[in-house]
Amino acid sequence: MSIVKHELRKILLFPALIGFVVLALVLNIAVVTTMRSSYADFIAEASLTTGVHLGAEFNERAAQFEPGLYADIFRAQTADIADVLYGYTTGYIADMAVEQLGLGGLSEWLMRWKYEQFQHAARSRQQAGDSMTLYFAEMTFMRHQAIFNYTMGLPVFQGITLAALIMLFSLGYENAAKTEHMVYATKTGRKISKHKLLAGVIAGLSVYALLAAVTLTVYFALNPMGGTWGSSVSSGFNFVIDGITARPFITWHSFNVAQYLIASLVVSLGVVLCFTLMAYSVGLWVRNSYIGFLLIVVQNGVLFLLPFYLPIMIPGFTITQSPIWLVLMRTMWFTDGGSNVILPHFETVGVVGSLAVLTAIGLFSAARFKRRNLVS
Amino acid sequence: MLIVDNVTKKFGNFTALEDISLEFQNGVYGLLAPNGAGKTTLIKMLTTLIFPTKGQILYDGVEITQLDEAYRDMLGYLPQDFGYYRNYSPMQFLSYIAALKGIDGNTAKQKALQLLEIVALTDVKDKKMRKFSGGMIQRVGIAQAMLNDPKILILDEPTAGLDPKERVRFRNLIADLAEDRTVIFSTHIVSDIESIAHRVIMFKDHKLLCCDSPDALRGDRFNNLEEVFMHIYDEDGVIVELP
Repeated sequence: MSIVKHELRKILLFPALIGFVVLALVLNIAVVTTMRSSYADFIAEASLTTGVHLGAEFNERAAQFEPGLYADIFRAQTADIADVLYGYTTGYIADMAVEQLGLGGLSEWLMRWKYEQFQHAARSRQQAGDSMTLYFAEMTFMRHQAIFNYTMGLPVFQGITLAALIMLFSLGYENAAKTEHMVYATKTGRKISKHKLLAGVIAGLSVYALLAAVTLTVYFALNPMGGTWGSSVSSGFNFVIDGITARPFITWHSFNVAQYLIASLVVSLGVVLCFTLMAYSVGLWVRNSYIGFLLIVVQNGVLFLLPFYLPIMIPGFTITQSPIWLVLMRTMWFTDGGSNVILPHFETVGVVGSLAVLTAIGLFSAARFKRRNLVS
Repeated sequence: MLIVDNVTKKFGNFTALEDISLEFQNGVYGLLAPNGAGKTTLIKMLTTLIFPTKGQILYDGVEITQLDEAYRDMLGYLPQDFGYYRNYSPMQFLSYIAALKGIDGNTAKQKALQLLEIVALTDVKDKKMRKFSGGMIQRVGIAQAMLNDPKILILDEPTAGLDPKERVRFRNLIADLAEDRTVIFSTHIVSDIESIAHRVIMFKDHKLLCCDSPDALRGDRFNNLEEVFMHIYDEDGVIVELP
C-alpha cells in the first residue's frame, strides 16, 4: 500500500471527521428543506413549456396556461418586459465606489478602468439576449440567493473548515501518537509531509465534494429547476445589492444557470484547496493541530478585518483577493465584485494568485521543516 | 563506518553535548549514562532528528545529511517512549512503517511475519494494539526497527517495559544481530549491556568520558560494570571519580 493510501486511511478513520461530516449534512439538509416556494416550482414547470427567452413567442405560450393565481402572476411578470441592459452604462457604479471609498490616484484609476471593461461585458450580455431570459421571474433574487448563497455557501464554509482540520490533523498525527521520531528516522523521513499533503488535498476536496453534492442534490430534488437551467444568470430579473447600490446582475462572461453552478463549484474547489495549503504551511510550523487551527482562524480574522483599517487602498484591495474574502463574496463571483475589488475576474485572479502565494509559502515551510531540530 | 567528528550540540545557551568524537563499527555499543547526560541528544543526531551545532557526522566518509534517505535507509531506530497507533494491529503498523522504509508490499508482509515470530507476537498479529502491555508494545517497536534489516540499529532505552525474561531474550537477540551491523544501545541499566556490549560509551559534563570495552573499564579494581558505574556517578548522576 502506498504511503498516501496509509495517510488517507488514518484520516478516514478519524472519528471526529466522520462526526463533523454527518452533522454538516444534517444541518445542510435541514436548511435546504426550508427553502421551498410553490410559485418558483410553478415557474420551473412552466419554463419547460414557455422556454426561457422572453418575447412574443414566450408570451403566446404563457397565454395557453389555464387561468389561475400562479399563471396570472407569471403572465403579469413576464409580459412587456423592458430590457434592463439596453443602454445600460456602468460608469455610475465607478463614481459611487470612488466617492464612497474616497479613492484617488492609482486605486481610483483602476476602479474606473474595471468599470470601463465591465461596460463591454454589460453590452455583450444585452446583445446576447441574456438579460431577456426568464430565470425565476420575480422570484429570481430569492432563488439565486437560495442556490448560490445558502445551498452552495454552507458546504463551502464547512469544506474550508474541514479541509484545514484534515490537513492539520494529518500533519499533527505523528505528534499526537508520539511516533514523530520513529517516522522521521525512516527512509521517507520528513518527506512524509509531501505524502500527507497529497492525502490531505484528496481528503479535503473529497469531503467538500461530498458535502456539496449531497446538499445540492437534496436542494434540486426538492426544488426542480425545469427549463430554468438554460436561463442566463444575467437575466433582467436578477440583481445585486451591496454597499454601492442595487444594480443588474451582470457577469463578465455569458453563463446559464447550469454553467454558472459548475463554474462556481470549480472556484469553490480552488478556495478549499487554498485552505488546505494554508493549513499545510501552518501544520509544518505548529505541531499541535488545535493550536494550528486556532492560528488559521486568527490569520483569516486578521485578513478579513485588515482592509477596513488600512489607510492605503492598494494593499487592502490585494487582501480582498484572499481566500477568506473570496468565500465571503461568493454571491459576486464572475461579476464586477463591487467596491471591494479593483480587478476584473476577481474570483479567478484571487484563487490563482492565492494558490501561487500559498504554494510558495508551503515550499518555504517544507524547506525549513526539513532542517528543523525535532527536540521533543 | 559511522563517525561522529567533533560534534557539539547546543540548545540556545545550553550545551547538551560538547566536542564528541566517536567511531562506530560492527558490534554493540552501549551508551551508558544517567538520564540527562546527553545519550538521547547523540541518538537524535545519529537519526537526523536534530543537527549538530558544530562538527559533522559521517557515514563512509560522507555527511549523513547529504546522504539523506540513503543513510536513513540503512537505519533502524527504536525511540525512547515508543509511540504507536492504538487502533492498528501489529501487522497494519508494520505494513505502514515498511511503506515508509520503502519496502514493497509482499516483502513487507513476509518480513513483518518473520519479525513478529522473533518477538513472539504472532498470536496477536491482527489484534488492535490498544490492549497491549508495555512489553508487547516495546516488542512491536523492536520489530519495526528491524524491518529494513538495518546496517545501523539504534535503540534508545529498548528494555524499558520488558519483564526480566523478555530482557534476557532481547539481549540475546541484539547479540546475534550485532554480528554484521552496528548496534547502538542506550540505557541507564548496566546489566542490559554488560554481557553484550563490545564497547561502552560514557559521558561526563556533556563531554565524552570514555569509549572502551567492558573488560578495560572493569580493569582489576571492579567485579562488574555496575560497580564501575556506581563508582563514577553518585546518586544524582554526578561524576565522582574516574575508574
